[in-house]
Amino acid sequence: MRAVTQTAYFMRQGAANLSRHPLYAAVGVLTLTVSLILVGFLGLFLYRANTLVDRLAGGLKLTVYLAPEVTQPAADELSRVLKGQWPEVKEVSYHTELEDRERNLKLLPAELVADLEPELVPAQPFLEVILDVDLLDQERAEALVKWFSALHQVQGVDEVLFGSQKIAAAFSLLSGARTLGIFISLVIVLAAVFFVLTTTRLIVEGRRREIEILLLVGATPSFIRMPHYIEGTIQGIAAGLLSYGVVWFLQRHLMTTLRSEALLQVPLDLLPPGMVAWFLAGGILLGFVGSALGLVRHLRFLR
Amino acid sequence: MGAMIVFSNVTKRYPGGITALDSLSFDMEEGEFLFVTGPSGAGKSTIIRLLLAMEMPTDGQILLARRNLRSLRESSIPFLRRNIGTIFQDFRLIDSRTVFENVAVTLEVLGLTPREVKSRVAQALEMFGLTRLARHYPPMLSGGEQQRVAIARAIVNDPPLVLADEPTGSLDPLLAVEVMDKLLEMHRRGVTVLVATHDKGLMDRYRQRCILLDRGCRVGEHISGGDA
Repeated sequence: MRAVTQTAYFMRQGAANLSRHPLYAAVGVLTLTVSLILVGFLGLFLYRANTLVDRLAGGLKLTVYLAPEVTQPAADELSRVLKGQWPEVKEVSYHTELEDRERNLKLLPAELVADLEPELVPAQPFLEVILDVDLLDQERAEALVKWFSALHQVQGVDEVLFGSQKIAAAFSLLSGARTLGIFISLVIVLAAVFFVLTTTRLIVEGRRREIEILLLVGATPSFIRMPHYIEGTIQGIAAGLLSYGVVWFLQRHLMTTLRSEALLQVPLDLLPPGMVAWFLAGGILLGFVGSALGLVRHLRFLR
Repeated sequence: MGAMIVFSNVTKRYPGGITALDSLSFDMEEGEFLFVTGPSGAGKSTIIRLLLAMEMPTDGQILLARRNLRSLRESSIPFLRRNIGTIFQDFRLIDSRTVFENVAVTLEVLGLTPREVKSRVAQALEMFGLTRLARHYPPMLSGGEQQRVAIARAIVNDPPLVLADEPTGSLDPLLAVEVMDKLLEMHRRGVTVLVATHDKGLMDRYRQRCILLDRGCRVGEHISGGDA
């Protein structure tokens, strides 16, 4: 019965502390929110970086144009060489001169094709090489580009087109950004923890007198701690929801801007609804740990 | 009746060589009223701090209700304090809590139900004429009212011992007498009351045992004047 009474008391006091000290509560929630936004945004970026690369580079492929005299058996042999040399090569398909012509005809405007002799449309056999982006890191991508660039020197190979060269460059950039992102994230996580701890300590310092009085009337350290933990948890929940809302809002505006500027047509789902649980968990963890560590010093030195 | 407080050759030195108490000995019976007096720096507040286990003596023994404070474990200190009502010159009220909540905190620490807390706080507030101020916050009250709240908080759980450190120090003479009357009223109900004060005029109004300190040493003992 006493445990129930005490638990109810802690819950009431935890909630009451927020209304008794609205400024401290607001500062606490704001601190946690800013920290979660910083950590959350970077975390999401890192989490989604692979997906982003996949989507941007989806269908990353090379076209190896062959000399007209190259036969299918010779092309098949080249396919085997490519696959054997590069595990990143997911698929190689041979296309005849006829297929290339049909493809080119489809690409040309209808009014131009109407009066055109099909034989006049340039065409040649080619190999379409599809790469597996998941297996490709920046170093391998560079080596692959270099190797394929030199392929035109091989007899029977006319030209190599890197249809996705820009995407490969984007991949390279993103890969670099990923490494940089991990470093920046670590710095920001440390900064966020420091930020939360400093603010919590300042808030607890503001309540030093209250803690002293509670100790004087015989409160145990746990009696003082529990409402603070509950208060920190409530602030963490509020901060989790708030930061999710802010990140969602920013993402929405960012995507609208990118689409309106035609910079990016790829759907970029940075913030799936389930992610709110991670923000809440992060908020609760930061709020709880912040309030716990903030009190440690005072309860150690006050008697 | 046994001894409530026994100080036996108690010395308290602070870092830097400051000696607050120097081999001090005295005792106090259960249900007794005692004035501890002396000039600033005599060691009056140190006695209160030692009895509350806020500090430990450098040397000597302190027995409180037959328990040796030097052998008290850290985790037992809160339970010791629940049996002591404390009153300070600066009232030590929580400004962000109402009068009711300030008095209630003593009982909430004990784990009483909200119904019990409400009933006992209401009685304490009535006893000290504070019922109409129950929802007020300390900064809205006069000094005398704040000290009455502090006394109500100190006695609401019926502690066997009340320690008052300069309880009238920031009050005008009329309010000081009012507060002293309240402390004597508790004493008449059997509570042991130790009052540390340097207000000789106030002590002279009451006929009680009085220990005189100077620079941490006991330099005299007498019965103060008056006709209480």
